[in-house]
Amino acid sequence: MLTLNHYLILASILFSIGLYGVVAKRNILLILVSVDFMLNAANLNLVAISKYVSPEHLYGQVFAIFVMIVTAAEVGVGLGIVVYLYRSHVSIENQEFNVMKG
Amino acid sequence: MTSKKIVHCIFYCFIMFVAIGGLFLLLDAPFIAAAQLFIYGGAVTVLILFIVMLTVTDLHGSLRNAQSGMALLVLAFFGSVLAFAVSHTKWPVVKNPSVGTNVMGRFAEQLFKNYYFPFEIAGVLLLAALVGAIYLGREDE
Repeated sequence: MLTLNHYLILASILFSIGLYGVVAKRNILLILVSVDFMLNAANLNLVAISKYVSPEHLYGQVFAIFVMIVTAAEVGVGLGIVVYLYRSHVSIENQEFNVMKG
Repeated sequence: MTSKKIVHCIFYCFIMFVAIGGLFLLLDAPFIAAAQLFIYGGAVTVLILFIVMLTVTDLHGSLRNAQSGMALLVLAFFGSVLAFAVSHTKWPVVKNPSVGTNVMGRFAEQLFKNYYFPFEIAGVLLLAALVGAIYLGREDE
């Protein structure tokens, strides 16, 4: 029998993996994927708490769909930035980008 | 920790996204599960794979940077503290949680009645992101 705690612990593990990816990766694409991991963990939290705390209102599902919309926008713009950086620096290694001006 | 090849990493991420979709099905959220499958399993994965093909990611050596060992230690500690705190919190859980019948209909009602204005704002946000992505990806004159 799955309880709320199982989902929440899974989500915290997933969030930690995502944060590790953001901190420790050299490749910008993998950093973007790690951000997606963290947003997925947040979504899982929202839906699980919505089911186990107030199951009749479905508030968590509505919030999860908004988080997904924002994620789609984030991935689109983020990949645009990656392609732009690749064109200007011929690399997508995050140690290369150490100046603020373009 | 991670695979050496970046395409393998993306493929494992795809498996993870599909598995999270299955968890959403278990949580009685069929629309979220479908959206997860479409948005993450379909769009995001394919888009990232596409960018991997577009940018030659010839990283020499490891995919990780110099601080990865330290980061692993700190984030293992962080994750265990988070899991400990979560499991020792008293959540106001209801007995026998059931979302009732007609989840999709009530979800749509919630989305298009109570949250109609945020929904429209989200549409504008997506349009702005689309325009921004096209602007960033254009060729320089």
